[in-house]
Amino acid sequence: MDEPQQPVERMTDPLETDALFSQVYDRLKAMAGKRLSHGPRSTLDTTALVHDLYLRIGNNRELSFAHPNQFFTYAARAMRHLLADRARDRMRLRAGGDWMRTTLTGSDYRLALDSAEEALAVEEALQRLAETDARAAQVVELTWFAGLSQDQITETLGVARSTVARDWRFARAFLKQQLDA
Amino acid sequence: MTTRTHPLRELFEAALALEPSDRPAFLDQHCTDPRQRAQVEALLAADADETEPLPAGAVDRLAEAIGPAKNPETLPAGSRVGPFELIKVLGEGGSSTVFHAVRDSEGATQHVALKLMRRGLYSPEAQRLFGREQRALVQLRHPNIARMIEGGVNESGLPYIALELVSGSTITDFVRTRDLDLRARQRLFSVVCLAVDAAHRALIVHRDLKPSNVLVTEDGEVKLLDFGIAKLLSEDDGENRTQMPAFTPAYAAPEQRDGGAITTATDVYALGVLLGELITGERVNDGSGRTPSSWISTQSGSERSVVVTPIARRHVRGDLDAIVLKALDADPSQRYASAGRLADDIERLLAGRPVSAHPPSGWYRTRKFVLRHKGGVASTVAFLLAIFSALGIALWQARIAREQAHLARSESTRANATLGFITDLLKTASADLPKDQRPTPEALVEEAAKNAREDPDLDPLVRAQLLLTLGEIARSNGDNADAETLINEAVERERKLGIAPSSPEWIAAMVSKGNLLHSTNRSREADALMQALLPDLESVDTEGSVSALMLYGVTRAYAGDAITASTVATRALAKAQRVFGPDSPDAIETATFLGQLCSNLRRYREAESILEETIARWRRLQLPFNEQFARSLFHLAVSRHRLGKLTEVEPLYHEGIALMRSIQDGPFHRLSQGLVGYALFLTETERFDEAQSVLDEALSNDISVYGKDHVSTAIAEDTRGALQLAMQDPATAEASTRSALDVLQRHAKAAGYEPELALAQLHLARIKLAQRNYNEAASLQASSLPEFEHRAGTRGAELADSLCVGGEIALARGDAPAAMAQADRGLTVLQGVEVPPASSEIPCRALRANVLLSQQRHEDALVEMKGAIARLKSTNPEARVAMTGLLLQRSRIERAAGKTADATNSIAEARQLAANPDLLSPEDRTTLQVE
Repeated sequence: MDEPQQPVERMTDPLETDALFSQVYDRLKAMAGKRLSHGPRSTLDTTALVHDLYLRIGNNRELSFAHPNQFFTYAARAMRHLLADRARDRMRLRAGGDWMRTTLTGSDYRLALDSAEEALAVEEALQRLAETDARAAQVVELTWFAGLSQDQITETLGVARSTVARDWRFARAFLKQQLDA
Repeated sequence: MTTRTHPLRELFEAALALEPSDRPAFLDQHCTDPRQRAQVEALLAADADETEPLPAGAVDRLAEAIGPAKNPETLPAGSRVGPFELIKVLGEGGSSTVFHAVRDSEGATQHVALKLMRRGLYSPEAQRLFGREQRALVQLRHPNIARMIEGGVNESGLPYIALELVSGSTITDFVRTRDLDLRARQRLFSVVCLAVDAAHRALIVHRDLKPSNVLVTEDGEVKLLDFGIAKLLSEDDGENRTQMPAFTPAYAAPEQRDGGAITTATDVYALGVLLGELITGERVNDGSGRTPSSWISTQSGSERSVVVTPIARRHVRGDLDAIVLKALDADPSQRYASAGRLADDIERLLAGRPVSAHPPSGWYRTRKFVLRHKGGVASTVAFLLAIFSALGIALWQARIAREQAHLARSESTRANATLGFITDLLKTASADLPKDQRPTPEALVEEAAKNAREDPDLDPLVRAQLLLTLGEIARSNGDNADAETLINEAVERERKLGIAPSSPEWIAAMVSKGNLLHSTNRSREADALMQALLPDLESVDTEGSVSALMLYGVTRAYAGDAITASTVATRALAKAQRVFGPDSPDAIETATFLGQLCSNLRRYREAESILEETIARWRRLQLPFNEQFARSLFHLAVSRHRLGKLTEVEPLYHEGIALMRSIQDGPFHRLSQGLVGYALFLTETERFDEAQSVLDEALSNDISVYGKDHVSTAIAEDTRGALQLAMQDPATAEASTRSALDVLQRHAKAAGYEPELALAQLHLARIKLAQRNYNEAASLQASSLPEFEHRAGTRGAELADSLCVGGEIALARGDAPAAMAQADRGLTVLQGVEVPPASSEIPCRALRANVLLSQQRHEDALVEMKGAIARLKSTNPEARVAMTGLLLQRSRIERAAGKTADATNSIAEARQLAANPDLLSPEDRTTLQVE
């Protein structure tokens, strides 16, 4: 009996995902490092975040990426969700009593809650933006969560450089307005 | 994108294109909805503002501040973890949950802080590391370090650690609430440093020092928590690695954030941050290189300041600034060489003496190494960094050792510890990298060796040991040529240094060289080397001397000197138990060796008892299930097989073979050993088809590992020949056996496989006998005999087999007396064998019966048959083919004796067994068909 025709999409070899991941991982990390070195005081946890991300990718073996660029899109989206998840968890556990004692000191605890609130505000603003202009939201994701430059975003999304610049300008204004409100 | 642009954006962009002054008019015209207009205007205003919606790096900072997501599953109170009962959750970390737990210990209730990891340890390597770290931590005892009580793995496979439960406040809270002055803070800090230093001397790095891990009890006693736990919990298998080593960014040294090598200097950095925080109330770890005193000035009056006692800037400026900055140097080599040195400087400061903190001295060059290699693949750089940092530590250790030359003992202790550290680092560092990014081991060793040779700061003895270690690593990678060069170089260097023959360094070098010689088929040279070393070993109780004795045991065994071999191995075991304790890895390893040696020496009873105990100990201590363990399983399986405990054999082979397969995908040289043993078992229990497929795998495995022209391949091939003969296919058997024989004739002598050569000759003799080519059979049997006679102590069974075949040939040629003599000699030889195998004894008896038959001594022949049948029944009830053969032979004797009814009964009995007739000998087949 003939095999039924398989869909054209091929299954991704887990090893291949690993290799792809490490490739992106290095790029993300390098980029995060580069970006932060320009910023002021930085205590980054990029590595842990990227690893968290891998957990998810590892659990979704069926995902396959036609091109590493596609991975950035996915990575940025996943990192955004991770941050929101973390923030929600932290807020939910606010009243959880002494559970934080060993991991965070008092001032850290306050900072954690404030940061969680801020992260949730960012997430909400991004959602609003996505409702208004999905591609602009994607440009923000790639900028903030994957650390890509506008040139890299241009390549990733396969659109004109000027389009990305316009998306960013709109998104920037939109988000500022949302976050300041 | 095909989606339509949102009107809001359209309006925004259209307005942007206009001069600001023209925008209101434009909006008047195109935007009639007042709400929308307000939105557009807000957007335009936001656009005009220069600030960004989120500052650079905000996402990472948020993620870090929020901390890891909480794992929802938490065990309820009352759950059991190992021997402990959980009372309540104390805290949650990124990778673990901490519980207050208790257990009853001899009537008293012991309270502990129990850390339960969220992820299991799945790879043998991860388990090995967990076990090793955990043992090291249990041994770490210091009044200012919360004791690790025990560690283990719970029922769901999650590792846990029980620690001394400490109640107290963090050191920063303590100094604040007690309002301690600067001197008191420094004294407290000095206690912390000395505790850290003590742990470092045991080569345990904290990795996550921060105020919440430095508690002070009500009585003012410092207790450091979680020493080494960060590493213990972060060790993970390379394949599924999902979490980076745990650390707290605010206290993390640069190398920790960059994924560099974690060393004692990493803790010194964290201590620097802590000291800064204790004296200024602020974390001084902002990478700015600012002095603590400058923090005081800028932060005074700041609401974030937690300092209650105003500490005058002038008290801090100068020495204290220098101390903190030296501890906080981005370059690990420029920090204090140890936490103890940091404490010294604090003490000096308190005593009003000058401190040692001074500008960089510049001897450390790890950085340069790394920079030089930055052109390579990014991931390789990360790995090289780890190696070079390790080398850097070696250099540092060597320097410290030289400085403390008067403490001659400590020099070698430190150097050894360092070398062990490097070995482990080299072996495990690559596991951190994705498979495809791991640099080749050869490249790493070569690079490391080059640096070891060229570094002018290296102590000559340390250099030699470093080269030796690298040689060992090359050897474990199977790169024997490089290994030999390195090891010989190390030996030569040590010789030139004129170190004592009984020194641990010399013994270690000799053991390395001996191991290499032995594993490259030069066992005799290794034997001579170890023999020369022997007189110097007695008085030395070190790991090296245990290894040397073990190796000598092996080489003696290879030389056929079973008695010396086992004596030496027994001595090695006693020494290992004395030096390291019976539960120590070394003692267990030695016992494993002795057990395997006994099995090789055919002392199966001893082997069984030693291996059973060792395997049980291995499981109890949760040692990693590695190659060595699998080999023990194989040897225990062989021992039980030869002891006739056929029902207790198979699970051992299954476990061992599965383990070997899990250790390495694809061809693996250690796998065949188990497969061949299993095939022999399957052949004896007449599961021929299974035996065949197992042997096929062994052969293809050996061929891909070694090629055809190798003794190991030949042994598998020879075993297959024997199986094919048992399956009544002499022609195919001949091809297999001849091919094996050809290889063995060329290599057996050099490789010490003479008995295997003799065995192949004997097998071919059997084949020739089956083909009625008696002359060739006789000549082959005669060539096999001397080897077995020479090794009668261990090869008694094979000697009996050979004699039996000789007898069968003699009988076939009509020389009954010679046949009888051979059979009797065979049985006599078997009486001297510790556990005479039934598979050797039965053919001798059957031969005797046939000789007696030819001499018309039917009654005697039948007595002989009765014995043979009973023996087979009791030892190998599954062997229906062999039993059928014996029954048919008996029927022929009975018929010759005129006992027709008995003969018919025997044949009926044989038929009932329903053995496959194709597996019977031609003579037996005829007997069966004639009826």
